[in-house]
Amino acid sequence: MDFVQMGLMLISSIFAGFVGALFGIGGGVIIVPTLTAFLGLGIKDAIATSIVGVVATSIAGASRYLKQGITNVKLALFLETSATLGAMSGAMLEMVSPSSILFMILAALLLFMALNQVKTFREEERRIRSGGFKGKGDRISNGLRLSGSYHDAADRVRVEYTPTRSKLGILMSYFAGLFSGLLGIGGGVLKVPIMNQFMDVPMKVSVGTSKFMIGITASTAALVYFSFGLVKPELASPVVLGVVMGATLGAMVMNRIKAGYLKLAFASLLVYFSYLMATKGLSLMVGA
Amino acid sequence: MKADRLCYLILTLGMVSSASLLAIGLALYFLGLPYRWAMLSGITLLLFTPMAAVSSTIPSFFMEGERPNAFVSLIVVLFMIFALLLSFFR
Repeated sequence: MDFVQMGLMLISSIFAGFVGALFGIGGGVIIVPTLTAFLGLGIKDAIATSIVGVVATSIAGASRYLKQGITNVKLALFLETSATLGAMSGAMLEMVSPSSILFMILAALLLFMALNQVKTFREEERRIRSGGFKGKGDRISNGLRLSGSYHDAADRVRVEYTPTRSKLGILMSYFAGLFSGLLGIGGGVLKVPIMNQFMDVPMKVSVGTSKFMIGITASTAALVYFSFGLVKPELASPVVLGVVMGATLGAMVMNRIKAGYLKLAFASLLVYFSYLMATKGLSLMVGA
Repeated sequence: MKADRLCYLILTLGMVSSASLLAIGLALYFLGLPYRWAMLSGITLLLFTPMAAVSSTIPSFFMEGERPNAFVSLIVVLFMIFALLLSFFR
């Protein structure tokens, strides 16, 4: 590795960390293609390096969001119980399931979520201004005291919220984990809309909470790669430093963006992921 | 100490110390000096940070009188350990 390669890795990682923090995703979808296409790394090295980068972006993003009071730790841990279980089931089912159909189902689900984000982007801002996220909650969210509040820097209001439909949320988190274990995709792209659309959690809290959850899941996978000697420290180091810088910057910017615009941008990201999943599914079908 | 505050401190400490070790490792790499010790320590520290943060919430929730949340945290930590063991023996 020379200075030019390291510079390229650093720049792409800063971008991955920034996007990851802005949308509550891991950023692997940016790191892996950059490492393979532009730096000529093998896919195994790229994935092992990327997973360490995902842990780093999660830690950097989550710590900033915790400081801003955006991450809801109780909600993250509650949903992580089923997401981890789903990821384990997915990893075990990996061998026996028809992946092409699953990719197509996920593509359709992501597209549905994207449309829903577009449909509700004005409503989110209205609810932020009118205190519309403060509800009665349900038995689980009240029992675990999952409600919280944060200061929205874009609208300059304190937003109080109470998560609802906890049972549906934990069920959907299981499926997010399952898809992530089965298809090897990061869970953030599913976790954010699950919290925002199904559990009535504000978009920014969903992003901050997802960021914390990703680190929990990814660190377990990364420890396995690391203990088997698959992580090359010379490659992981510039990636980690880059994503930490990018995620810190992204987490500083996110709360200053209007929630509606954030939802629209996230919808575009969902459409892109949907396209990726559909092309993977189609290529598997043609290959089979 | 509140669970959120404790998590924040552990994540920040983990991030700063691991990033510093990795930066030192990179500097040593370009100077042609032994560098792997710094990079490996940095990555190890980084990867154990989320587990440390989640584990810290167990006593914190317990002391705050939020026993159901302490139980939820315990389940997450156990699942993380179980997932690790499962991956090793697959």
